[in-house]
Amino acid sequence: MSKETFSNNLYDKAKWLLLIIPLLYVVLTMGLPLLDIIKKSLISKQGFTFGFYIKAFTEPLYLSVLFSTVKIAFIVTLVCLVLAYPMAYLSVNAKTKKVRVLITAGVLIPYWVSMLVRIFAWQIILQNNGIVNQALLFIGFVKEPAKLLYTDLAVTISLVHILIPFMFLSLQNTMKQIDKNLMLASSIMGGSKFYGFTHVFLPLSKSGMLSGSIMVFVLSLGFYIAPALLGGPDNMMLSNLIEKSMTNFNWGLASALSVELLVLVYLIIAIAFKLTGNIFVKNA
Amino acid sequence: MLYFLVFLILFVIIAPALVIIPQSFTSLNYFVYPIKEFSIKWYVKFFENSEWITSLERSIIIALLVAVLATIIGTLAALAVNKLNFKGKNLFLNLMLTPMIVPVVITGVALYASFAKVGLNNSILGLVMAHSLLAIPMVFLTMSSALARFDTNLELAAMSMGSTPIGAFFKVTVPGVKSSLVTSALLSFVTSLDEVVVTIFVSGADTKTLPMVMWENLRATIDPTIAVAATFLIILTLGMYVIKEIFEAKSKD
Repeated sequence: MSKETFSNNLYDKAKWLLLIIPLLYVVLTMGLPLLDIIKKSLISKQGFTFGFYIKAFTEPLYLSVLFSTVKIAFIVTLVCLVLAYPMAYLSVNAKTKKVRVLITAGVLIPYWVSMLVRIFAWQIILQNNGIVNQALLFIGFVKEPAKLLYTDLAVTISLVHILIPFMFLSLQNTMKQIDKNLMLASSIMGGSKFYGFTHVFLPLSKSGMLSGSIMVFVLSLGFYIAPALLGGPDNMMLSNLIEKSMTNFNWGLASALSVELLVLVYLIIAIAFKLTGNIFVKNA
Repeated sequence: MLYFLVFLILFVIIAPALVIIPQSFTSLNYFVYPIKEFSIKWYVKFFENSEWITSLERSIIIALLVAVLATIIGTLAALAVNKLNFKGKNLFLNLMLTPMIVPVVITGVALYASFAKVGLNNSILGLVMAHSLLAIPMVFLTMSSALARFDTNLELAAMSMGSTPIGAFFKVTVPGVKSSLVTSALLSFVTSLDEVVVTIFVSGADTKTLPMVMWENLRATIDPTIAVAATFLIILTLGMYVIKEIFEAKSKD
């Protein structure tokens, strides 16, 4: 008996169990409920309608929420990239192992602290008599406490804080695979350290930058708690709008907005797959 | 210079997680630094308030059930992808990852609508099912990479020595990927313990979890009992991280 068939024997007997149980679970709790939402977005009391979609794409308020969601997601992605890059760089290239481990642990430990707690922390830090305002007042940068809480800035800061580990891991993953001899070669040929970085290391880390950015962008599009607790009434993101329409029992609109957000997310992921392959599997 | 920059960023990342804990010991009824006088009165208040305690207990029970359910289902899915040949494997794989990709609000809205039809809203079972759904992709990814690394020859060896296939699975494969199983269970536990968004939709007055009570308090009156609750959440989730690290370090020996 060949090795292949022998090994398969072990699992073939349980084939249906292995396949059907997870499939059934995800289809029943995710697939069907999503289809139901799509159905709800197309049916009103009068029957079939595109009305909810027309409303979602013509009402100025809804459009501005869509626009500001994409804008925040874009800024968050950019800031995450800029901040995570030097950390990932050192976590791979630092001379002592201790530093490398320390940086990685430092980025990942907050990830294990409850998200709600981290958002709550920003509430305390950014409030009018919080640490940041105390510091700003102390150095005389402002005369009275600056309004930091309930702004886009607060939402952006907290999203960067929550999502930076994803960018970090993605960058680190790519940087680990870069052959250090290439940098060495560049310096032997007379290139400066800076030249080696910009002409060798940076281009080679591009795929990590891309997959990290897409992951962070997609995740920030769907955020709900941070804008709800740190943003003001004018800083709603799409998720908050969906929740709001649902609590107003406007199921059609909530469903249409959900489909809109879902399509946006999948569109970006589809483009990403075309460019880099399955980013979610690669970063595991 | 680079080192300085990196450690500055690290400080900004880590510090916010820690500002909460001292605040739970404040003697005032609002949050301000520096803390002039320490007291444990908010801890007393936390333990006197049955809503906090029952929600903490409920959260832990739900998280334990999720750790079991999600680990089993996610592992089955990972076994299917790693060990079986079937049509539509790519589709199956992507389907297992959807709960991670779909924004949680949408999952919440969709589950609320579907649970309403079968009476699962405001029930422990409903919460366990919803949280497990969110945890399955993480278990699936963790176990997939563990199984891909696992040497299939060991199973073959066991069976050629006369072990039954099921015996080989539980005596060879399971111990071989034990540390990943523990990681999966801990990830699922923490996912459930930390979940707010889907919980907002599918929980009700009788099934509030600890983050849910915190959420309600954060939107209404903020008093330092929230900092106490947050401290417990930090200890629980960070504790899981420490257990995971210890376990992984041990299994490497």
